[in-house]
Amino acid sequence: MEDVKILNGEIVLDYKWSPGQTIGKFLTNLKDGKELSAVRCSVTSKVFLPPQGWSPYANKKMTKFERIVGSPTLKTGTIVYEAPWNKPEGVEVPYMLAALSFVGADTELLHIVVASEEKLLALKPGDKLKPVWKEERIGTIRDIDHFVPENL
Amino acid sequence: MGRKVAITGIGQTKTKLKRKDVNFSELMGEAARQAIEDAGLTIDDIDCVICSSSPEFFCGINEPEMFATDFTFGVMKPHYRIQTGGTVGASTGITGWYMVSSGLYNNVLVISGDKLTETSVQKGLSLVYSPTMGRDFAAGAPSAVACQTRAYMHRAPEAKLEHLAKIGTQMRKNALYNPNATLKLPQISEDMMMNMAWLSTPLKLLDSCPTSDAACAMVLQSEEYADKNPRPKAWVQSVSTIAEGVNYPDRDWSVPIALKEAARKCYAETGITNPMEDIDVIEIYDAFTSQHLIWLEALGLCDVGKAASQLIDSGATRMDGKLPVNPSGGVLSNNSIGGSAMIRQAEIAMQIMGRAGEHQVEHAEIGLAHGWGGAIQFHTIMIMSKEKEIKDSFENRKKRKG
Repeated sequence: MEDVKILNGEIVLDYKWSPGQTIGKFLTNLKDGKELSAVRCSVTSKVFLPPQGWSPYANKKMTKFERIVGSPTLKTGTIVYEAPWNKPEGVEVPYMLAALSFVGADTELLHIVVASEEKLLALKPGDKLKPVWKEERIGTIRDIDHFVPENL
Repeated sequence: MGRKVAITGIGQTKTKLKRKDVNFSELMGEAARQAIEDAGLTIDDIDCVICSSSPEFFCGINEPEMFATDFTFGVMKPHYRIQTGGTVGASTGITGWYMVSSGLYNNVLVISGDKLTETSVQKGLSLVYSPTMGRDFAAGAPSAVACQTRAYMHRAPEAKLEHLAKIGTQMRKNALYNPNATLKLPQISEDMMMNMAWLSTPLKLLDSCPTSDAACAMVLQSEEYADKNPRPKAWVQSVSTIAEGVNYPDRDWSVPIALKEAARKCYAETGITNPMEDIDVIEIYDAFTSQHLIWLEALGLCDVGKAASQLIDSGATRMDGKLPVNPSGGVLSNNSIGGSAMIRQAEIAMQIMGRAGEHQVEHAEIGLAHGWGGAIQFHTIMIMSKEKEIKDSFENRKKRKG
């Protein structure tokens, strides 16, 4: 008789997360207006995208929303070759996980860039990208399905 | 400053990637028992226990300290758990220091560890991203560090993939002399590193740490008790734990401002003016090869953007170099997350005590232990010396160097 050495298990939990008012508004504006909303700190003038409700530098609430227009550039990114467990739906490896800079925002937005491996390998910081929006938007960051190199 | 504090006992669990022979609590208990014995103390001598691990999703038990209490000498004693992600082991050691330095307790046992091999680590790591913003794209730790590495290589064009291969080889060679390293690759070479498949560009498979089951424990004693303890000791001279924001304005991923601030504070408190000259041995939290370049630059060991040439090509951080970094083989050779940042402190303490065996650095008088956690934004530093007063350790070094 062998001793018991391994027990298999699984944890499945359901959540209903509240995004809070600031991210809630960001998601609503994505859904309703294909609009990227940021907030500006009234003390430091820094613009946060995605928006957050509190400025850690001024220690003040941030409520002043601003619309970000224009296409982003690549700040930094990595080509993901090993599919993570939560691989973005409808996307195959390799894809790029990227931090994107927008004119008018002082923080970066995390998103994905989808293109051929060759195009992804050629992308470098500063290169321009453009969004591909979903037809049916439901108020998540994936309402922008992904970004593509502007010169694709 | 508070009271003087010394590390007098160390425990590290047995070398093996998977510890199928023990459960979480037993693993933690193993390290705890070793540390108490190593300090020459008994359970009754310990007046407070801090027993920590990384996020609960890794071991799959909520409040794992609940069961671990029985095994870690916490019964009928103050027993705490803290949690700061990858830094948790270092934060636990630093919390122990605060407990003793503040005068609250005289003999504190700190333990930190985890069993990472029992679930999908990257799944757990992706769960640290916000569910309403970011988790959609979370691809574990490698992708975040890959972005950081890409940013560094863009800022410091001299840093190439070959440097990452050199670092990975250097660490795995060091690990061969450390009985507690869990990943042993005698066949390691720069070619082997370069020939690995991409994990997440510019990182290849062996640029990453392994996942291990490991725990580490230490006994910290106040000056009054440490002076009476004949065991070798390492005196803790300065500690710092600093956090950056997760996504703050004008962030440069390759410049860890929290680490720079932690270093500034600890150097000022200890009188270190030129870390390359004033420190004998360093252990950094190098979950990925590229972090040698980023963390060591932030610690002020080289000119900005010159870590690859000044620290790696020059051989400065090798075992026979001017300032050996990670004689243990680092996190690249053993990563349980929960235990990893405390192991950095324990390894420096062992070096200072002259008890590091085959991976001992000659004349280790002053050492620095670093910890990293959060997304890429928590940093800790602990500086130790052989002498109770660090000025005496500086003096010893001066005499030796003539």
